[in-house]
Amino acid sequence: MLGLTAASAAVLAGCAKDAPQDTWQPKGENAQKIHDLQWPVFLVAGIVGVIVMVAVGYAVVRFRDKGQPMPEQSHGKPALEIALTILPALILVGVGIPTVSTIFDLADTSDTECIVNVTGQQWWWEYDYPAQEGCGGISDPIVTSGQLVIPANTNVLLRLTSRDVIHSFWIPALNGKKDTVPGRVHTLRMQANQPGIYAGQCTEFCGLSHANMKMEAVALNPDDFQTWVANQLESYVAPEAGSQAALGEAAFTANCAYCHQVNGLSSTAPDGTVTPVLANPDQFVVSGSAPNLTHLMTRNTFAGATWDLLTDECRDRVWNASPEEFGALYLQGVTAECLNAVDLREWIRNAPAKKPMYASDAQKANSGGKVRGMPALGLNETQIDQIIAYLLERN
Amino acid sequence: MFTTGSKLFIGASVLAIVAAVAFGVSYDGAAAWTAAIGLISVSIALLFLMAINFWVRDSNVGGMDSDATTTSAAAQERPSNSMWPAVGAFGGALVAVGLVATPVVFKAGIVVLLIALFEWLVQAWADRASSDRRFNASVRGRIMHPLEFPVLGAVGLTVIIYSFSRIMLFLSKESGPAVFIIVASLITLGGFLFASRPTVKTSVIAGICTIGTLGLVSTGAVMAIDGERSMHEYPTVSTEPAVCASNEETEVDEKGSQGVAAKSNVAATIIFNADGELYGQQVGMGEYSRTVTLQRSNPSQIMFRNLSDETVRLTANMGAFEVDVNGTKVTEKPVTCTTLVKPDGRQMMTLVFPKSSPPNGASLEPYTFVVPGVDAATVEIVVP
Ligand code: HEC
Ligand SMILES: [Cu+2]
Repeated sequence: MLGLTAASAAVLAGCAKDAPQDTWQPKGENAQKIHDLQWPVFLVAGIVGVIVMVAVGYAVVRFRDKGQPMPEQSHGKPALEIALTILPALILVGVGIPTVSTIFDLADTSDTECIVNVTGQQWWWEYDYPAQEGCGGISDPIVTSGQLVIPANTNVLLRLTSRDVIHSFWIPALNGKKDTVPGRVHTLRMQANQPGIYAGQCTEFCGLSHANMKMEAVALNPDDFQTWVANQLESYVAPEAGSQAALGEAAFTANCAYCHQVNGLSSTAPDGTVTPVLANPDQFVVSGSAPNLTHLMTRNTFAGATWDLLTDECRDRVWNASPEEFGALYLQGVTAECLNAVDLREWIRNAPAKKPMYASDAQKANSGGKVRGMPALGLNETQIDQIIAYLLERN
Repeated sequence: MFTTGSKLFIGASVLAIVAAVAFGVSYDGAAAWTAAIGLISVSIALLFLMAINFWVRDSNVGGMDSDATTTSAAAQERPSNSMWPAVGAFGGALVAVGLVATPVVFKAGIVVLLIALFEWLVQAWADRASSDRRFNASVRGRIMHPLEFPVLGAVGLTVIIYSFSRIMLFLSKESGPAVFIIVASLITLGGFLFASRPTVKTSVIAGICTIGTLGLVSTGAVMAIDGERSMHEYPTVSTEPAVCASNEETEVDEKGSQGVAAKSNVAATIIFNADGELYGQQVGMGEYSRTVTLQRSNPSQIMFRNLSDETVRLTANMGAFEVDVNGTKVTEKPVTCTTLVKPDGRQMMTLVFPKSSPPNGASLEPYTFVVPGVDAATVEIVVP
């Protein structure tokens, strides 16, 4: 009895209270459909399981060897055998019908209201929003990463693919998982009932930093979503001449911009000609891609949603906000007071020390001189200060 | 006084000495010396053997030794007949031939040798298990059958399948299916007949199967030597600017894009309709779109459908890039196109865009899908 109590205590301890990736707490229509299917199936399976265990236990105890004579041996009982074949078949049919219909429901794309392209790569997610009428209208393409921003109560369709190995996209509160496979486009429905933030995790082992490949879905009221879109499409604002951030812009252009795109960033030659600064990650990174940093400070996380751009206090405020307050808080982005400079500094100082990645020279040699992840760049603390000042204005 | 065995060795060693002398006289130079020394060494060895035989009197058993009738070596049960020494010799021959001819034969020889050695070992061991032949054979079978039957079965199947595949490759595309159907029906019919007459003698069945297998293998061998029917790979896409800008006919593998996996997961379908319009369809993006968005640095499967009544191709203009070739600036314009697609036909192509489309990429021109020869038929490709 004591053992049983201890065992059940251990099992129950597994059910954390603060569990944002709990599959039993659907927060959207699609996850609800899965939930409505999984609990009855679990229930039936559980009852069958208990009956079987009890029957086995009874047989083991009741008919154990006490030296009694060998019972009469018979060859089958047709009635019992037929019954025991038909009963499970019926149970399976009973489970199968709603399962198949749910699968078809979840695969439907005809009620799509807007789409987002999702691209997995080692070890972060990129989201691009094609120009479209859906989602309240998006006039130009948007590229972002880590946090998938969607309008609440809207049928968003994700078109998933991958740039290197197979990954799997999973936001448990909103829908089941879907693999992302290079060369294939898989679709996944996303719908959140209420504004809020929903955590997820890559669920297909994808190499060294698989565990650090997370993501979050952020649902905003349609109005707030429009504000977000407008902000993403705002054109580049260069830092004030002579400011710390202006020095940061130069340092960024020299050290970061060949991998990271900042839309609208340009450089001026001594003779006055202005040329756009364009990233060429395809020449440096195995996946051919690095996060677009144009509006870095509008998201709350970085590097595969593994670290926060917000201090703990500001982060808690966003996560614990009521659905009514959430949008306004999220749209504040990362302000100077709320910036979690500690993790960001560490990242810029030596990214592979913070998140395991294949970025050393020896490791690069195995992949045609290209890195998987972000390499250490050997910047000094002054440069890091300047770059952070510059990044803080990318909002 | 000399025993039979020792006389044999005396003769052989005399022959070796005669040969050494003949060699030494008729040849000169180092080779003659080498040969003579070798032959004289052989004769010494043979004389040594002769001495041993003479000493032990050919191991003859004494005439008065009455036990010898049961205990001498000659009185023992002889080992059972075995093919393994012969197989081993064959393996040795293969090894020798392979050394001069080709490595494949050499390796096959080694395998044959090893198999023969192993089988012979087990056989010899089993022969000593008891004095009962039947029992010894069953002991051997218990050990070897679990190994031999699966291997022999696999080898047999391989030979049959390989022969059959040679036959199918030899036959023309049209007669192949017919032959396949006839052979399959015959086998089914045969199986049915045997099953419906359980009284048929096993030897009859075995005979028919043997004849069938021999026929199959010999036909297969003849057809393998004769060679496969001519097969030609046709390209399904081109990256030649001259081809992609034209309506020139190219060889087409019409079935080249029927990969179910590819077709079921296209990134975009591009349609050319009877009104000469080109438009794109992407899941969730409406039925009629003049721009398609494709993810960067990722193979995108594009399906082209020709709903017009002309024969046309789809060309992807993948931008214009300034590159440095030995100090001079050159503009490169990568293209990819499908082969010509007949009315109502479809073709797949796979595109990878490593760079964003303008304004965030280096290309001097936008990326587009076009149908060469039809001016208005353009769909813009956005690569964010
Ligand atoms: C060789 C290419 C490369 C260079 C150079 C580079 N990065 Fe990165 N960076 C990456 C890659 C790849 C990632 C994604 C890593 C991950 O999350 O696993 C990344 C991630 C980041 C992120 C997180 C972004 C997000 O949305 O998750 C920031 C911030 C960042 N880099 C800043 C910088 C700064 C600042 C510099 C210059 C000092 C720089 N990077 C130089 C490749 C590069
Ligand atoms: Cu992953």
